[in-house]
Amino acid sequence: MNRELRQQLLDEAAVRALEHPADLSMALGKGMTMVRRKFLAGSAVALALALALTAAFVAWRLAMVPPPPPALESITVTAAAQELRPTATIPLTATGHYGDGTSKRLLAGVEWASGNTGVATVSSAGVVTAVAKGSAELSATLDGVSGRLTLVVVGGDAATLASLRLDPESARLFPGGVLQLTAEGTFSDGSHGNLNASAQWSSGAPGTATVDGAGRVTAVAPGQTVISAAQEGKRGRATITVLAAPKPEITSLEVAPAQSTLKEGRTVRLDAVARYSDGSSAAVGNATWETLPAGSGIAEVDAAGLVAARRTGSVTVVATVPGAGGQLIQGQAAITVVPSVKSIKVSPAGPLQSEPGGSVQLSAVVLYSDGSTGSDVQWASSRPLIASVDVSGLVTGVKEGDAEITATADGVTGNPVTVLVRTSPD
Amino acid sequence: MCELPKRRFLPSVNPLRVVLAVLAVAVVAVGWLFPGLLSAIPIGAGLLTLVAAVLLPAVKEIEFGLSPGFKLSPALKDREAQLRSVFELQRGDLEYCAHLLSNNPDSARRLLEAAWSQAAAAWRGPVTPQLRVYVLCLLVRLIRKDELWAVHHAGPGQAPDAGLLAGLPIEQRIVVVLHEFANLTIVEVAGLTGRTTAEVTDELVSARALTAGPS
Repeated sequence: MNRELRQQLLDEAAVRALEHPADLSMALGKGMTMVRRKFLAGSAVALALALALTAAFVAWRLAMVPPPPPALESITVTAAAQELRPTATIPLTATGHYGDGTSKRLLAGVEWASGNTGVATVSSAGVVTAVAKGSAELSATLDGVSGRLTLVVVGGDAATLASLRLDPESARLFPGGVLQLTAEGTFSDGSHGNLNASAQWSSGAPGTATVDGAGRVTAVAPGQTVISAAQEGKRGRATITVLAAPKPEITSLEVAPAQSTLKEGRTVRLDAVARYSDGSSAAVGNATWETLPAGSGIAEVDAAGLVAARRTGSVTVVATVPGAGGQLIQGQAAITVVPSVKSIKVSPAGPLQSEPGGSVQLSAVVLYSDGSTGSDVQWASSRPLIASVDVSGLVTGVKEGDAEITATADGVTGNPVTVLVRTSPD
Repeated sequence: MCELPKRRFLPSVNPLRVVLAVLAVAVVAVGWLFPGLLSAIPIGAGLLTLVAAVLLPAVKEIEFGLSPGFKLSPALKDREAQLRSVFELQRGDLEYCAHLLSNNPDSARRLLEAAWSQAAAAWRGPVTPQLRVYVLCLLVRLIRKDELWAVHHAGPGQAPDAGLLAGLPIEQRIVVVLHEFANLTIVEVAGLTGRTTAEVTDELVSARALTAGPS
């Protein structure tokens, strides 16, 4: 750019700048206000994020780590009665009171103890038994916290029986089941006593359930009966329901015989034998039968379990019955099919002649269904007094006459050979 | 186009902030062991410390170029003073450029003030002489927008006090002013206007027909 023009332009710009001066303070003030706003907005967002993150952390922590259980602060021990007569038995109840204000019955882990076992004993389940007259402090301890109950065992000879109840008041049993009832007496002095030994026990229907003199109930047959215990005009009752014995369930299935070897064309009947939950076992008629591998052609089985051998090979026969829960219960048997005897050829074909005391050797060739051959036969003579034959087919003449020698295998008989026993003219 | 300095993180990492960050994380971890809702206290305290004492001061320093410390107003005043001193030094130069770029002296003044204001709000980190190029960039951007607005609403050539450069198209005028009066190289002008150096050179050659004149 030429110098004059440049200077002229600068002069013009200088004049304009002088006439219209820019306000730097105002511009800077606006800029710094924007900085302040951006920073404050960013800070607010950051703090909000920090708080949200804190809430998320705490929520996550609470979800991941369950709060510790409230501390057990005290235990209260209670009983249906605090005065008992010797031999009386009642359960104790331990109730725990926790730091969060809740209470609940303590069932597991409670250690029960009696301060005077000569007066009363307490079992690990918290059942107290009065022994002799006196008082005993019973305690329940859990996690180092204890609760106590003072129990008084009274003689109470002057007291009269106020009421009698049986525990449990109702029960259900299966035939043969046994239940021990407890006759609990409440006396006029407020004490409780066990009257099992002294009460008169009876059953309303002995054909359903019987009861002995100590309150022991035995279920006999399905039905319902009332068991009563009576003493001093007071009576306690318990309703006993005897249920029908549950139907035993099939637990396993077996196939008998478990292994069979069949000649081709032969059959064998298999039985499905179920074993029940009550230990008994019996053949079942509703089993379904199949061969594995299916369609092999080695053997076939019908709906009644009759297996027919078709060709040589091995196959598994499976029986299936439905179980109580709908599941399928299976048993199996191994079937091996071997070739059968097709024919037997005895040679020489005869008729043969022999002298008494002389012998002739016969041989037999067995032809099996798969084309193989063998020599395993049973020899027989139609008239052993004329000619005998041993296991190897050696025929020995005994005296003059005619005999027929046969070879048999698997019920198949070969061609008979006639042996003529003759005395030589010489 | 108008590039700000890159964020520099390392200078903001100092031993005090590292210690505070570790302590805050430790407090959060300890809070994890507290039962129930009680854990919200240490976790919240740790996270707030992390944000207020570590992250925000670092952001304040890196993003806004403010001096460290909890009080905002003194930091803003310091920053304003730094910017003012630099802008004062560059004021005459920038005012000439603004009036050379715009036909309307009032618009030139207003746009320069807007450029200063935006630069003050956006400039990142310490105040350096590079701020001049950034202000020029903002000024060019505003001039372009203003020109577009003027063309759309009033039509070109409506300037009340057209100068000698008024005959140039706006893009040629920007190139001429930045190169001839703001003393930027062709490469700098190209970077600042978002064009190639060839385009800038062409614009200068085209403008020379008017600006060369008799020497």
